[in-house]
Parts: sequence; structure tokens; C-alpha cells
Amino acid sequence: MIQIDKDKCSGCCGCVDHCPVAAINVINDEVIIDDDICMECLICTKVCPLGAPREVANA
Amino acid sequence: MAKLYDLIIVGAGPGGAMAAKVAGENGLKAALLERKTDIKTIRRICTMIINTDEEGFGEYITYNYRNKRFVFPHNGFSVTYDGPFRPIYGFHITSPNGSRFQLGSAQKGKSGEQPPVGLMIDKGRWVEIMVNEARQNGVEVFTNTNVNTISKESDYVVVTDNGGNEYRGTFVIAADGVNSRIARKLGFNKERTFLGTYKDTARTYEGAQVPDGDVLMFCMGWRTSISIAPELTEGHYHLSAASYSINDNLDAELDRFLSSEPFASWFKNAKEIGHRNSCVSNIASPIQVPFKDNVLLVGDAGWMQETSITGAILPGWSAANAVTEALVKNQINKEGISTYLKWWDTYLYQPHGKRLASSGGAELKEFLSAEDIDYLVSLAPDPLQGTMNFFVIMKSIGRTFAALLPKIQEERPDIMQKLLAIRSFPRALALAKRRREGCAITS
Repeated sequence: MIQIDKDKCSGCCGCVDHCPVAAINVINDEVIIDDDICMECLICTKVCPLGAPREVANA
Repeated sequence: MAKLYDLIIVGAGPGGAMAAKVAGENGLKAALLERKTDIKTIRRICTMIINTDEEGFGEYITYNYRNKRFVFPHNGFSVTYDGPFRPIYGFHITSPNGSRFQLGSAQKGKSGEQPPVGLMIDKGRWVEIMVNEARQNGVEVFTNTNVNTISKESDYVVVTDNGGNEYRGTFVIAADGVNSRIARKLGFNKERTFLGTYKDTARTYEGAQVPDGDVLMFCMGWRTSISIAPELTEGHYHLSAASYSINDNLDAELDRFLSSEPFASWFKNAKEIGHRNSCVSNIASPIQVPFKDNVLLVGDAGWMQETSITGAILPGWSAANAVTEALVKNQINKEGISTYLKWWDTYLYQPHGKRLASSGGAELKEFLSAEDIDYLVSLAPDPLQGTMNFFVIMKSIGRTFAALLPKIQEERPDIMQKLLAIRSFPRALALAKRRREGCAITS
């Protein structure tokens, strides 16, 4: 699954905009990925200028 | 049953905030939807400069210092702005060895011989003022609201947020920025040319000593596009690197820049502060008719990249007034809001959009070396007329270097060859490269 590293994320919402399935939202100023919707296409990891989204192993 | 608004505005940036203010003043039953929690916190990179005292989109904005209002005399309105500001005196291009091509002299500006060409504002405060005025006039503001879908019912438009909440409006103004999800949900992106994915990362420094720093500075001759922009606080600067190749290491480029003279000296006593800023923009050709099924697109949502703050405020103002007129005339259709489409066509699309729609060529860095850029920039050492109007900047650069071509041919025929190669580089190849190195949003 994809997680956003909060220390790196600037909140610019580029990933929110680019996500083809609208899996990413801004909730209380935090950028959060909804795992149920996320297809793991990895577009967010490619477009983020700060490298905040990253793949982590499923729990 | 869900409430029916006259107008729903999506996005509380400068475009949406202005539309909301107008909607409130005009007495519309309106809702403003914004995904952030705090509308005055600006996360995306923005130089936050409003062009003043020169033509821009048919307007001649000026600031009334006594009453703290930005004045739009051609369209006939003014707005309160009581926040901090910083005069900007020009736009400079530097080459790797520090030579400068100057549009506007920072020295003359600071000594009072030249007026500012722009005022840097606190964009968050600007938006906050507009939205407060909208609220006072009855506009409902919903923050923490991510609009993800849009659809047309028989008599109204429905937008839905990530929580499944529905908002119904007779009209919708989409002010959701450069990567507008509404524009693509409505199918606009299918007809637009993809021009690139522009990634930008910015650091903020305090204690930097930038010579003639009260300007917006673009540093050419590097692998990425580097820029230095002042912040409202003296001595604070944003340093950013941007690229159309999503695999470029923007941080490494900034580090390389910071270790190269003369720029290293500018930042040698500087300390990075605060959080990094960023933005990533899906650049597509401007939309000619920013309207579909009673949804109006304003500002960046219908444009290519960075209409500028003025280029967002004016469409927001025009669109909200056009919606008002349509409601009064009971013409709930394209004809009813036609004054907005006329504004967009007259001030944005015809003068600039058409040309930008066919933009996209070779990147200078693929042809010109750092030394080539040093040579070219050094050919025009005297400051030209100051401007922050992006289109005037491009024209000035073009005119200046066109006049220098005979000299370049004589002194450096090798560079002349490269300039000709850049000019004749097939657009199709340049766009293919952008597609390969970007990440297009098409649907």
C-alpha cells in the first residue's frame, strides 16, 4: 500500500489532483490515501516533488 | 432533499474567493467548497505577486495605499487588502556566471526612480479577506470538502465530496486550479494537448544576500529551471527548482546551484527555514470555451499554467457576475452567462490562449551550454523597461535577441546554429518528450 510521509509532505495536493481514482484526499490538512480505493498505480509516487508517497508492505 | 444553491463555487483560491465575494454581494444563495481546513494557509508554490500599474488582461490594477484597496478601474471595482506587501521592481534572468538580463532595475526601484511593477502580497490574507466578505453576505463556506465528482441532473448540477455529501447548484463555478478534476470529469482534457508535467520544489532561506533582490529572478543554464523569489520578510527568499522530467532530482540540482559561484556567496550566510513547498502541475493547452452544462471554469482550471493572481481574480469576478445576470434573466444556459465567455475570449483566449495552445518546443538546455547562456545574457547588460506581465516579458526577450542575431552570427556562428536548430525543432518531437517524461492526466 502507499503511505504519505508526513515529514516530507508539503500539502501541495499534486498527488490529490493526479490520482486517477480520487483515492487521495485532504482531511484536516493532512493528505491521506484511502486504501480501499487506491489501485497502487504509483502515479502519486512519480509526481510528488518531495518524494512523500512511498510504497510500504501491507500489514 | 439536498438544498439547491444558485451557485456552487469549488475552490477557495483567488479565483473562487473573488467569485464567492461577488456572489455574496449580489445576493446569490451560494456555497464555497474548499478541500483545505484553513483557507489562509497556502501550500502550493506561488510568488504571490499582483502586477500593478501596467496593462494585464484588459485591466490596469493599482494599489490605493491610503485606503488599503486594490483598484480595478477598467472593470470598475476595488477590494480591500490590508495585509503586508512588498514592492517588486522587475524580472531578471541570470546566466551561470551571474550575468543578468534585466527587465526593470531593482536599484532604480529602491531609490524611487522607478515605480514597482508588482506588489507581493500575503495570498492567504487576500483569500481570507474575500471569503470573510462572502461569509458576511451569506455565502456558506464548507472547508475540508474534497469535490471528487460532478454530474448534471435535469435542472441542476451536483457535486459530491469524498464523504459522499452532495451539493446541488443551478450553476457551478469550477475554480479548482491547474489540475482541475472538474475540467477533466467534464471531458475537457480529451481535446486538450498535453504539454508536460511540471514539478517544482522550493526551499525558504533567511539571511540570504541577493544583489538587487527585489525582483523575480530566473536562473538559466542549469539542468532544471531555477528561480529566486523574495518573500515578504526582508532577507527571506524562496529558492526553487522545476522540471518537466518527473525523474529529475530537484533537490540535487538546488544543492549544485548553491555550491556554485556567484550564487553560493549569496546564500553562504543563509539558513533554510520552515517547511518545503512544492507543486506539480499537469500542463495542458488552454480551453477556448470554459463552459459546459452550466459549469463555468475560471482561472487555472481552464488555462494552461499560472494565469497569475490577476488572471484568476478577473475571471472569478466576471463569472460570478455573469451567473447573476443569467439568474435575473432566467436564462439558465450558455447564452445566459455569455458575458463571461466573452470576457475569457477577449482578454485571455484570443490574445494569449490561442498562441499558448500551439506552444511547446525544444528545451534550450538541450542545445545551449552554460557558457552559451553566459554569452547570450551578457549581450544585453542594460536594464530594459520593467514589467511583470508575463507576455510582455516574452515579447521583450524575443525582440531584444532578434535584434542581436546579426551580432551573434558574426561573433558566435556556432551559437547561431544552435538557435536556428532550436527554432526549427519539430514540435511533435518536443511534445513526445514531454509525454515520455511526464505523467499526463487525461481522464
